[in-house]
Amino acid sequence: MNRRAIETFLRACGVAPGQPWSGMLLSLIFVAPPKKPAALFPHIDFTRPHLADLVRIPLQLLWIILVRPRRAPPAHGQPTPLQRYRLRALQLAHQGWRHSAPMRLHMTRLLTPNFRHAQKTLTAMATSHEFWDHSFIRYSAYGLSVLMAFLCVTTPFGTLSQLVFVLLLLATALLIRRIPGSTVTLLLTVLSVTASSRYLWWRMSATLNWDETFDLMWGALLLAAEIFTYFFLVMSYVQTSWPLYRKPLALPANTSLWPAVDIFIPTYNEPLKVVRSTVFAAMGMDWPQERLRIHLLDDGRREEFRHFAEALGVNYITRPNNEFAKAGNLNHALSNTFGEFIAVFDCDHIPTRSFLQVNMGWFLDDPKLALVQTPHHFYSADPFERNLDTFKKIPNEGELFYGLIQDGNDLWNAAFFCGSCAILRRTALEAVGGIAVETVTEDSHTALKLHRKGYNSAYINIPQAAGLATESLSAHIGQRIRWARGMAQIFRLDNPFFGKGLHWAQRICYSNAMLSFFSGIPRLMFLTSPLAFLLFHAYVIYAPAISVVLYVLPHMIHATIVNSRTQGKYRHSFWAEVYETVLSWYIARPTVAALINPRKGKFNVTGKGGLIEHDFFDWTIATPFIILILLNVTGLVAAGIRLFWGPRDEVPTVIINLVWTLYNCLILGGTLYLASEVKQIRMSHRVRIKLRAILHLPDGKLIPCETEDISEGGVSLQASASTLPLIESNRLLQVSLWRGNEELAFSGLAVFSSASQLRLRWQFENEADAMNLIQCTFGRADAWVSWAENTQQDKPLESLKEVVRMGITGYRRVIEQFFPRFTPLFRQLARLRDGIVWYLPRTPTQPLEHRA
Amino acid sequence: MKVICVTGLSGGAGVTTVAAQLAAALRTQDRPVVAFDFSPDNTLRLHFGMAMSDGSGLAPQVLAKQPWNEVAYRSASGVDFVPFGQLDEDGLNRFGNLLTHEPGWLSRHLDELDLPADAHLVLDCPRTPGPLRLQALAASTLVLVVLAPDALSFARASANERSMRLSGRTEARYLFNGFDASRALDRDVVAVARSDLQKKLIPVMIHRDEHLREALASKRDIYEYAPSSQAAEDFSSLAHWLATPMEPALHP
Repeated sequence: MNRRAIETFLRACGVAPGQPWSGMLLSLIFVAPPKKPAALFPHIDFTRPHLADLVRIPLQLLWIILVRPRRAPPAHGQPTPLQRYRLRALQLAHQGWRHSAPMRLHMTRLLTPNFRHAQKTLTAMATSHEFWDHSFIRYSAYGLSVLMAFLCVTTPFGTLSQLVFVLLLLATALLIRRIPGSTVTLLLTVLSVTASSRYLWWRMSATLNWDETFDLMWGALLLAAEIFTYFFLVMSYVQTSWPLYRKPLALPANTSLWPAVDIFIPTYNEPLKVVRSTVFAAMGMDWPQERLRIHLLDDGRREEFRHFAEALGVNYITRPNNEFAKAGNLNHALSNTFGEFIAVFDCDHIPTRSFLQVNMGWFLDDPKLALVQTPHHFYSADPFERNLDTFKKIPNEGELFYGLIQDGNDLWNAAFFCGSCAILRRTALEAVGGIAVETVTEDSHTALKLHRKGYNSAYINIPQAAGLATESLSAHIGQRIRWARGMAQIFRLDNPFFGKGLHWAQRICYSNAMLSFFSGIPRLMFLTSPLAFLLFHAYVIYAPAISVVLYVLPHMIHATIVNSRTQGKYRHSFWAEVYETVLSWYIARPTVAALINPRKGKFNVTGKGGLIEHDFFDWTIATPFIILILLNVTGLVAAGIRLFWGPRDEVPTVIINLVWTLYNCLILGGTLYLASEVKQIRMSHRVRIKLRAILHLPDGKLIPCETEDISEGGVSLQASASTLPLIESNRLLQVSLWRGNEELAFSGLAVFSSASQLRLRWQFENEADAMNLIQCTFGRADAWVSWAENTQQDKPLESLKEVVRMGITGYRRVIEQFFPRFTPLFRQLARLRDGIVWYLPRTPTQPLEHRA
Repeated sequence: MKVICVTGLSGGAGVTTVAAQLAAALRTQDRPVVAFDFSPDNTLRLHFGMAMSDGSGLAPQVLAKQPWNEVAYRSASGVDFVPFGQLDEDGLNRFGNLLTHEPGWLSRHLDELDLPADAHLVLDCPRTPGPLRLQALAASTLVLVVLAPDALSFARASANERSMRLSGRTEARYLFNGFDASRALDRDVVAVARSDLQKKLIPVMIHRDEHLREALASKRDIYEYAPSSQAAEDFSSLAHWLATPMEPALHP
């Protein structure tokens, strides 16, 4: 044991090192317990000693002595080579990393400043020289690149050469992936496409067993699924290669130049409670009042709605039939109004007051602009988030689309209409015959038609409206089924790959949006493929196990690296697998059906604002996955049998298939977790917003407060400085909130009161109060701006850990459902696990210092 | 040095309260501050805990040809203030005559004060015309007009703004005191004033908070009596707004 270890030990015991030995020994014996042991023993409560501490303390000490010092970073001024490299890379990135990034990375240290300058100008000259404009040179360069890429992808390698090749690819990717900037993203994408292309080429050229029909059939099916995924992957790379992140364009200062806007709020069967807030917020929009008309489009023809609209002075539009559902409703309103622009809000999307001012600017700039879309933001948890408990922690399913894909589409002028929270130009809409009625996803089809006619679209990624997410898992899935069916219909009836008027990139973006809904079948293939070997001994990939690993792993790792980099803020690795697996089964059938007969299928309305009264397990949703799990478990058993009693030379193949099956089981476990519906009992959603407020006490005293959460039903307040006075129940109080710089007071009955929190139930005298409240809260311009600031950037390994945990919990829940008598057993197991963890050493809360 | 003249246009707007609490707010923000009472009512001192019976102050001192600084007091919370002092009718006349004969009297005396550059002088100025009011307005860098959120205040503010614009005196800023968001008229008056006075209306409003009346009754300023009340927050915001050079027009 070296000196340093002894010193660490002494410090851990609270004895200052550097004294004479005798003194230190004495202190060890007599000065106990040490003064501040808490930092080194974070898990031990010295005020309440436990018998087990006799084991825990020595264990922790042993761990600190043996493990921690070795792990501690080296002293200052001596970073490891890797750290030095990273530091340098980051410095370079900060210096304005523009040209020839990879070149400079390796050369900077060799080059003198003069030389570096020369190199910079040389690069600038080479890239800006006019000979690049010569089409011959350009196309020769393209040709050469294609030829080299072809060679790179198709050259057959032996096992060793392939190993070297993939290691080089991987090393490059790992070294550059920390450098910020789009150039590096593109470079990583190239690496990923290389790895995947090599894999696919190898799969097609070397892994099909043409001698065995059974194997060939399985192999070809899997290969088809892989080809689909490959093209989908490459097209996604194109789609999101350079997200535009378009900024709003300022409107002219002279408001008389601002055009007239009609706001359409279509509704069919939603309760008035839901629609009210949207109308209130729309009425509070900042726009010249004589050029803003609000229309409530009621397909339910309800008297209640007519009265409501008349009382507020909002135009009420209805029609004799419900032909073509929402699309028909909008078209009917289109023919009865005359504003130059049309803003569409689903009846449960509450717009902010700034919606028009933020989004109209681009229309005045570009006369061919037909559509500005903004994200659909949800202030309640969707069923995935609620059941997985990931609300506001992990990006939800829709965030990838609104956070990244639409911004990516926008670069290629292919951002499309999503049915709500968007503005359309009337002339453009009329030029394509109104909202498309041929399919059940009228929104994207309309956008496709607009693009075909040469109109432009824009996407502004600032949440300017918010709504309720679907309530139950089955409703959520029902909505996705409709989208899938509609997209498949468009794919058949008006395929974006063919037909006139689209740019190649627009074709890719649109096709990708549709193909994503076809991914159900390939995913089901991947979930069952290893079984072909494990159960039926069919070699779906007819190749030695080591080759499979050398080709598959790079393909998967590089794709994960790129996706984690581009999508990390909007979707976490592996979570996507769970989301998509749940949907795969349900969208597989409607997409196929729509491909075969595109004219069938009607619009179903997505239910919102419902309740789930108690926790329950949605067996209808989960059944297909339970069957898949049973199949995979059978596969696991078969794998065990093959491992121990099968031929020796098959062991590596069995292991690969075993790992694959285990991964599948894990993801399927996640779907089980999802299917356990968590109860949702509140009628109106409490939305967490921190707003300035003033509490008016009955005796005339005023206390500055902050809101914790607000709903249409009530508010929860906390004092911003000190504590709140206690207030007896049912006292009528008032709360001031702000609409811009205008202060408004609202009455409420005290429901709950403590020193830290006061909860009120609103007492509104009239509609005006309810409207003002919506405009003070949900309609604020900045209501949703900082919403996503708590979600974290993806860390693939962390996400994997989370998904593993979730998968295991999913299984536990199902077993508890099926066999309640196992519940105590699980509790015992959990207790055992916690017990073991309880003994384990912890990281000291203060770092151990090393003094020279 | 900033000289803030707090004054009103109609009675009962709360000029003295605003002057006192503003001085206290500046003090809690560690800015050097001296509050002056230029009103014969001599009530500013009551906000700082001075005894009602104590009649010493600026005016009697001047008449007795004694130096000012002997009647500068410091409140329990550390605000320096100079009370007006108790004078009878005759004394008030003599004091008025003295000022009438020497138009630059106040400016000269304020210049004599040895205060740091970031110091604030808060003058509680009577709304009735008189020589001291004239001199205070002339010496101030900012005139803070306190309005009650009622129709009368607003009407006078509009008229005053017009006459000020004509006479070209120091710019006035308007402050609503006693605002209650649950009263429709308060909200309406403020909304109209905002569109009429525009940038001249200070974005901070002092709410009608019972804490303020209780603070006076207990002879303490609001930061001593109820530091976490809305009124305390309002005056802090007002002090920040005044001390932050946001608008060039405020600092010519």
